[in-house]
Amino acid sequence: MKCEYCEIAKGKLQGEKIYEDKKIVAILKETAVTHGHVVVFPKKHYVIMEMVPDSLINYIFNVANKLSVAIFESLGVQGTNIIVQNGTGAGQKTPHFSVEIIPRREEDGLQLDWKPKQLLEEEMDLAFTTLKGEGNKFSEIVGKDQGQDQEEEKEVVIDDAKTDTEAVLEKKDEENYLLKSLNKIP
Amino acid sequence: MEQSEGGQQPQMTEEQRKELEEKLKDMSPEEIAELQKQQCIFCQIVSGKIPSKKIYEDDICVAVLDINPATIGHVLLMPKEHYMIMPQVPENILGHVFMVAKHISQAMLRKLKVEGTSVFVANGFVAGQKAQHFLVHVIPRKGNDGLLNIHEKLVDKELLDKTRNVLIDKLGGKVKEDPKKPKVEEKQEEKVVEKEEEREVKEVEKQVEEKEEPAEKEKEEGYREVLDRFVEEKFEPGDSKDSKDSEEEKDEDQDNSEDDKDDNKTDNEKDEAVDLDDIANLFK
Repeated sequence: MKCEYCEIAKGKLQGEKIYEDKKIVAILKETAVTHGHVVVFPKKHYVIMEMVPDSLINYIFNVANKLSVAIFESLGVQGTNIIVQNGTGAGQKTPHFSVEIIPRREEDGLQLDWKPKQLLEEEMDLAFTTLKGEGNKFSEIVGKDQGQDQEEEKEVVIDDAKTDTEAVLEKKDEENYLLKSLNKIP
Repeated sequence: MEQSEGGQQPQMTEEQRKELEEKLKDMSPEEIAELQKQQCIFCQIVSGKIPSKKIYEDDICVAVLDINPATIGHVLLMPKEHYMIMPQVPENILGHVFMVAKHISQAMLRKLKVEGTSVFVANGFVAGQKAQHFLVHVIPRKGNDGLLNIHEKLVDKELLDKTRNVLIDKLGGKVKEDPKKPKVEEKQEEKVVEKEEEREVKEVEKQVEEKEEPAEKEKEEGYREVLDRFVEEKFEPGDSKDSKDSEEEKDEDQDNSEDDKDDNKTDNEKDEAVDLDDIANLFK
């Protein structure tokens, strides 16, 4: 199954490109939350954010920042939202990592905020200890895979041959992610 | 939504207000910036004056648990330096902050039982920015949580073209033309050609769509596979060449638990149907 964004990067599908360079493409969405909705994605195929090398993350969000400023200045909007939907649970629709820039205007009717939840002390503590434990490992790894992106540039960036990701997508599995998580608990 | 303290300010009398306005006129930009910093709730969190649940800290940024979370594990990530909005943040700091956001998201996928994560930034009051300090939200997600509901609809073609041209001009016109597309000078002819190509593309896509609808479910399951591989730490960032062997081992385990999954799937099926429509709309 072909990835829509990879096809746009190659120039095959009719995409509303507004900006492109060696690493990324930015398109203006035709089916959008509101007009001016821009999506930036790397030319290389990564399904979710965690697979993207840190250096490319660094680059793509700086581009998103500049696009956000350009939208703000040229379309006369009053604000922008920058959103990454990572995984189906988060509403990701295309299996290709992308950053969405949504222009905001007064009384545009978009409901992107949330009602704060009142959590139990235990729940907060559990989340805190779990994430803090992971956080302690970050200093060793943040930014350390910067070299990877440079090496990968030497390879063919977009190839028609099957990548492992495509092979995964074609497999006929019927997993339930929640059940898998439960099965892991000893 | 940022922490509630950000929205509450001490009420001033008219006199106090006038005094403050006069003071501000005399102050240099640096002094004003310093004043903002002193009054900023998040700068006080960074410095430790206000207690918080910090899950990560380095020279450039701090990550804390939001005390008014959208869900369990909602993290607020902020640069230590005071910047009000994203365009003010220097490139190296911005890049670093988002790299950390990625690792936080990774930690959430691995350790909190979630189906995805969202990274969210609000620039401007209209966009939902409540605090005067640039913040990045990293929010754990589950289907049906009702957060960040993005409903998409087709934009009017003329408006789309107009917006596109404005943006391309603004960004310096760096768009590669489709090499197969013939270059036509007159605009009307261009439009006609574009429309015809659009129709052809749509027809092809419809045919492709009909053949590939059964594959949509597989695509959705593909995400879970990828997330699962990630959660089981068999995945390195940026590494798309993972071993297929580990996938095959998992398949055998899953076959045994298929019956139980069917019960759990019924709730998800409705959402999948909605998602499929949205995916179908993307192809229009």
